[in-house]
Amino acid sequence: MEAKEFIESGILELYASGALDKNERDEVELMAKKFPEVAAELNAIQLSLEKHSMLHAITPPTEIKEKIQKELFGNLKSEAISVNHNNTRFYQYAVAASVVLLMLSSFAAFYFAGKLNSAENQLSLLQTQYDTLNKNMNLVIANQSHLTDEMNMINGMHTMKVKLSGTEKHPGMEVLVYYDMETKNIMLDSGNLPQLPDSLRYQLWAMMDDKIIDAGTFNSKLGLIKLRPASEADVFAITIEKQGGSATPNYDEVVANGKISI
Amino acid sequence: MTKKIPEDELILLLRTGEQSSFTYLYENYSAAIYGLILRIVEDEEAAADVLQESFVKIWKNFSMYDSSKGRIFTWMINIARNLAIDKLRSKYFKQDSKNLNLDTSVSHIDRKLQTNFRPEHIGLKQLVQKMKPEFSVILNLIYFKGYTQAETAEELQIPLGTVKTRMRNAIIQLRELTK
Repeated sequence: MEAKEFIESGILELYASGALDKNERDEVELMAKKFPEVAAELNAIQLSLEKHSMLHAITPPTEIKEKIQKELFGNLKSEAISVNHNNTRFYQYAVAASVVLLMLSSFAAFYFAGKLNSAENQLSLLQTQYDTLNKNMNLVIANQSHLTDEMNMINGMHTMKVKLSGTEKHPGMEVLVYYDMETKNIMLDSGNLPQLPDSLRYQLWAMMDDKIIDAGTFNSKLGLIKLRPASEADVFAITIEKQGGSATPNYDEVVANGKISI
Repeated sequence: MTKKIPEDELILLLRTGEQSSFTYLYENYSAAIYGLILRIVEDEEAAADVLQESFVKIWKNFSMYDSSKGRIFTWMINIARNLAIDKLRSKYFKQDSKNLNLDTSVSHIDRKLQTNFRPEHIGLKQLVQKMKPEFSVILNLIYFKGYTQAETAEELQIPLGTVKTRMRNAIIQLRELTK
């Protein structure tokens, strides 16, 4: 009730218009603090007078702004300095923002460098794997063509399969020799011959009547061994010789022999 | 002339004391303040001086502004009104100024505005036309001329108690019209 009467008295309108003396102004301010509705009414009155003033606005001559700025902020030169000074906070923020940005970009750089590095590592690993596979595939292809050659050779129409058996000194040994009568090429399956030490080698000899032909040295291993062609052969014999082979067979160490049976 | 930032933000901006906040304040309020000053002193040169004095005082005394006592514009316009009245009453200004035939209902400035009509005053013209004459007269005397209650009662030949109620009714109509 007190607030309502106060509002309706018209004192707030005079306060907002600057027409009250000090005592009356103090009273209005006290009432506005005490009653929110008084404060709200006062604010509405002030807002309407503000709009009223805006409608009555008259643009002042442009040079006044400069005059005021000169008085408040000094002449143009010191104004520039004062702008800098006043903008210190802005620059502080700008510097802080830059630092944060720098940190973020550094982190991103490290992060992506790490990623790139690991990608590069993976790539080089894959490259190595690819190279190995490629090499292996080439080996397989070479091997396959080698095996094809061998197969073609041992299954050839003119190829003789000669079984060489162990002598009394080397019982139970079994070696197979394939001899192409047409091309004179020789392939050998070392069978169950034991592995020789590095200083020694097996040597194959092709014999025909009293002729003895050196067909090359070998050591025991899986698969077929290609030896030197022999122009003639009736009997094959294997001896143990020193590494590098011998010109003539060591008859004391004949391991196995066998005759071509037509 | 419209405010672009809310009042509480403007207050914070002004408290930083940065020149940019002065620029904002000047750009948005100088014309409204100058309009009031010019209506009181009715002399462009004197009004420019008062405007400068007002902005210097507003800027230097901003720390004294108390937002709980009212809007920032009310505070500023009160400073400008007081300085303009001081100027009008100063001995020097009285001697210097031409003897104007003061019409209290519509000021010399507003008559000038009405003859040199400009588009930005369309709102004002509409407002003035819509307001009851007795309301626009009292609003003009108290708000734009800075008359006290006693001065207004004497000028309008009405009882002192009527000043308050008529001023209240004038502003109630203003609130309706400026909604």
